[in-house]
Amino acid sequence: MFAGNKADKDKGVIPGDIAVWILIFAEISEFALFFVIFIVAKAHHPEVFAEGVLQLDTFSGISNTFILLTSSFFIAKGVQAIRLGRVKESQKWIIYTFLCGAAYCCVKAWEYHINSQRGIGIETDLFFTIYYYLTFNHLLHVMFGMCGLLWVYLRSRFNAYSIEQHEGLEAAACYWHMVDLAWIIIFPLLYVLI
Amino acid sequence: MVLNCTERNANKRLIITWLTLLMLTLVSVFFVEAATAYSISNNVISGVLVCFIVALKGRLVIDNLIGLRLANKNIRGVMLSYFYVLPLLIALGIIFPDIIVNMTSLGS
Repeated sequence: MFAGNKADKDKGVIPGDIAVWILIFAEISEFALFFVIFIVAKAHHPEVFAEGVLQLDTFSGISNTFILLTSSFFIAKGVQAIRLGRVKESQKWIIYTFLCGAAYCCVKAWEYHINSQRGIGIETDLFFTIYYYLTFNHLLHVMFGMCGLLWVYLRSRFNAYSIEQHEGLEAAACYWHMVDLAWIIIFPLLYVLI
Repeated sequence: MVLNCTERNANKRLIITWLTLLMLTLVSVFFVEAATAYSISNNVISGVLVCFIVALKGRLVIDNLIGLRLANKNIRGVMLSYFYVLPLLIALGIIFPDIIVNMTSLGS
């Protein structure tokens, strides 16, 4: 949590900066388009989508949800720490978040491997075409977010952030939360709702 | 490390939010698994509950993890509306698939 207070509320403070929020709005709009396409395609082919959900490895989906939610908690702790001027502690939370991102990538790779062993590919049916498009696109966003985390970690190591100046770290944190928010919708759509 | 009262409350809020998010994930899976296990052919109720949970999870992340509860209200408004509109669309897709098919079909 950004340790906001009454003064922040009165000022209408923007976590990070406005540029990162424009990027976030563009990204979530892109995901929203995918979700609408998914809803429409599912309405047209309910049997294909119901069967597709049952073929996926739900455990991988749950694991990745837990990993991303935990990573969001870690980066929130990192921002909280830097707002209190605890640079070293903040660096520790950034690293934990980065490791969660790496774990997400590993689980996703494992899931794709299981799918390929079961003979499931991007051209299997419409469900899997959208599944691969959505999840791979999300995976790219996770990787991009990890690059951002690595960047702010390195900057932090060179004393770029302090209690007064930590806009860059907040911006990377906001982007990372966006990645988590997108997954909060992707998970039930692909793995849960039949 | 000595934590003052405000920090302790902030920490507590973060931890409770995180654990609630994990629990809600399991509950949403349980709803659908239970509906499937008890051969409830109509998944509308479990689907709508899952959509409600998605909206709730979105709000928790936006308010407590990103911290928009105490920040710019315009950005918070856009983010929250995203998490009200999309789960609603998904729920409508579950409840009224025929209407969506009619709206998105070309010709008869």
